[in-house]
Amino acid sequence: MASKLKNIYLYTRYERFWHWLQMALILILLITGFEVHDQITLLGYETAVAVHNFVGLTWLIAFAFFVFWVFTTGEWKQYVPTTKKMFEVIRYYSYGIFRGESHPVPKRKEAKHNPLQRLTYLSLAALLLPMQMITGFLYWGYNSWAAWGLSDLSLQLIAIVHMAGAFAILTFLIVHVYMTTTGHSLFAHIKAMITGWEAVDEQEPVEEWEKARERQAPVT
Amino acid sequence: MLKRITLIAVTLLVTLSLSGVAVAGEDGNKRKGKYTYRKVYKACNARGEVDIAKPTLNPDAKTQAQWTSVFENKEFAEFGCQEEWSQLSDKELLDIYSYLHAHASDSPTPAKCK
Amino acid sequence: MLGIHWKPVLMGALVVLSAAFLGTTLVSGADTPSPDQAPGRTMAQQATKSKALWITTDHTKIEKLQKTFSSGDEVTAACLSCHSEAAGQFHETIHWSWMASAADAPKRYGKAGDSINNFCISTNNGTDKGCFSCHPGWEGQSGAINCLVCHGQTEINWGESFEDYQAFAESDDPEELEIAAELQSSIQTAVQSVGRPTRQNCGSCHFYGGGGDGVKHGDLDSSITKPSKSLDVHMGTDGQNFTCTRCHTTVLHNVAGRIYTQPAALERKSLIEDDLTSKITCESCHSATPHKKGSKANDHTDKVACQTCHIPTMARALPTKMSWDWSKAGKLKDGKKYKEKGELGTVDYMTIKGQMRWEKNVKPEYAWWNGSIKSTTVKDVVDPTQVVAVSAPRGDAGDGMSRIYPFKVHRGRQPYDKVHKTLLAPLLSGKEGFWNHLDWDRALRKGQAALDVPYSGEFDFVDTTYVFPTTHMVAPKENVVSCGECHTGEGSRLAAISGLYMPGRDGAGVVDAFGWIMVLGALLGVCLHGLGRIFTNGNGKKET
Repeated sequence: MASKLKNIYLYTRYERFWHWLQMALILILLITGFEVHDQITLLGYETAVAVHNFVGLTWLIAFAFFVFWVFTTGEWKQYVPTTKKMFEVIRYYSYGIFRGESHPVPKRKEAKHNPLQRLTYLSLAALLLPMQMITGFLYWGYNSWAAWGLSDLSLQLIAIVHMAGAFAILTFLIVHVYMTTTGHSLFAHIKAMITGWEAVDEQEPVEEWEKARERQAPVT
Repeated sequence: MLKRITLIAVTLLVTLSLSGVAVAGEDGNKRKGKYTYRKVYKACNARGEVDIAKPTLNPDAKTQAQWTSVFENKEFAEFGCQEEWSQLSDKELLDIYSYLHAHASDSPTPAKCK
Repeated sequence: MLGIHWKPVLMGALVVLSAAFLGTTLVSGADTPSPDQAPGRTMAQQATKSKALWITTDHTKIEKLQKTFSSGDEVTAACLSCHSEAAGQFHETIHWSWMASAADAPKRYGKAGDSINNFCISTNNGTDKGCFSCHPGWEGQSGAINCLVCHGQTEINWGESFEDYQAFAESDDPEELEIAAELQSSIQTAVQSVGRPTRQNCGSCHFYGGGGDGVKHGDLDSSITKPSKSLDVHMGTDGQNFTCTRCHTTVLHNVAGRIYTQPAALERKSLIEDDLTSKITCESCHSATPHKKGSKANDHTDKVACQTCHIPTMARALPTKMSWDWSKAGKLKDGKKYKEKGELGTVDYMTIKGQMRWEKNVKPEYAWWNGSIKSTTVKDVVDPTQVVAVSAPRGDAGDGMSRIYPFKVHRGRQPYDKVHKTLLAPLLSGKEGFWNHLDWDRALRKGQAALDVPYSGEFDFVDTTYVFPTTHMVAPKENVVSCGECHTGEGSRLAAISGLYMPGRDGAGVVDAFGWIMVLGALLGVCLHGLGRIFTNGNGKKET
């Protein structure tokens, strides 16, 4: 099954910058957030709060740029979910991978994400992260709730939802980091996210349903 | 005149008492004794021996029996300021004794040097 | 590609924006005069900067004060001959009447009324003469006001001076007359050296409340007479050197401050909002948002009183009494009354008073407080099956008025009436008092009768608490309570505070448990998956 590899330019400069910036922000937020929630002790409570607030707000602003990017470049189509080949991908990761099979949906310029990734990243970018940002922002603005007309909101509720989100993100992070080792080599995917160039199997055709650009039907 | 006689009598009594006979404590002028006692330390402080111009021992530092013993045996070393103590007359000593005895720790009115 | 043109612009914008955001967050408060100083501090310094008092009268030159004084009443008459309204004003104040307010009726709050505490319990309607050593009159409540208790600047024992002067002045012994002249000279000096009350004046009673130094208040004791700045930033002699009246501002001899159930201030106002407001609250001078702009501490001032963070511990120089068990009183040693000293050099046991515990560097207890104290009287029915709160802070999280405030809580064990379910007020000092005869029943009968309240004859002891709001001994800013001392799950200073969610102190319940299970599950999952790949020599190994 193994075949010749071809290098393709998969991730643009902004995309890579965004990925690593977000990684750094999330990592800091996780560490300081768990300290604010009294799960770990590292920087001291006051510093942890200050850092968490600052990085959280930075993330919020940076995320706005990502949203702008994802829509203006049409990259949003990479996140449109599908059930096609979903079973094959699940089967691959739970069985085929141990047998040395090739990935059923290899990466392509037009289709960076396999169906499982599409679903995961969409949930992440459209649900989990915004939820975390909204609850985080409300948490941060607690003293202005009355001015915002949110007096009836419960801080405890916001805090609990925010914590649940944090655990979900940490869980994702563990699986996500592990999955980077499932490329052609242990560090192939990480290398691709640094350089932008990913090695993919040459002969695998891009299937019609996967193509992003061609679905951009011009409106007439 | 009567006063003078009393004074002589008292002085005699004091001489007797202080040479061994138990002192009763009511014979001296305790009010005056208080000021004489304080004056000792004012003078002593002026001379430079003590830092504070106040007595070091308060009346309630000892029991009545202990004060009697101190004055019977003239054991004044504990008071310090030997120079001033040695210059006190027997009358003055009796006044001081009366003051200390009246406000000793087991007296009805124990007192510090107010 | 279109992207080529705007991508660098976009990235540049992001960097600029991030930097700008970083800038505004970190370099905030640049508009204040001194960037290093919190605005509330600057405000307070401006409000109090004029330290030099200007006085237009030198009392040593007043003719009426040159005369011979042979009694306290003569001194008062001399004072009032110029200060004609002073006595009328002062007689209306609690300092004289020892009664809180007529508005409390039918309750009679006050030392001279029905109020009780868990120290020496009651003045028994003024029958306990021992209490009057702190009354600002020459003789109890009937005589004239001793103006010099509060205004005298020379330490003198008035009672002894007048008594001895009168005795010696009558004498024909020249030595005694000489002493009399000396006494009169020191009396005159004391009468002529008057001024505004100093810490020493107020402290002569307030430092010794409850019968000794630091007994009642944990934040007021003789160490405040000449405190260092580290003991009290405001009163420190090496700092601002405030007198009590700097904050306890006074109008018509009414000194600002809490009086039993009445709060010290009804509104939280700064001098900016009302330049004639009393300076009794921190906010008067420091404003409601005293910290640097953007500081999280400013967000706390609606729920947390300044004192909570700024007074980390009380009784920092001298110990304060924390408990007093009257039920242990009466024990004799060799048939005699005795006392025992403890580790701190304090009297821990006294036959006449019972068992007492003293502490230094006391962490306060915290409670929601709206400024009013719930106070118990001898007439109030209590529940002896529980710890009785003789006094307790009023307020809760939801009333919009209360803030979390530090208290010294003094724990007592004191007599109560088993039939009437009321706390009892024994007579303590004097011939008929407990301290003389050590007979509880007799002392209780006397004390209750003096207050005109019933006593069934059946008594026992009940555990009680009494609170003191902690507001003095404000520490320098370097020593404030750190965030983590409250925002922590274990050993939080505010562990007992309910009615709000506190980050760090409060967990997220099942979410925390499930969260960690999920995280550990994911870790375990990827480990097993990874091991599976290693053992089956699967993907990721073949081609490298």
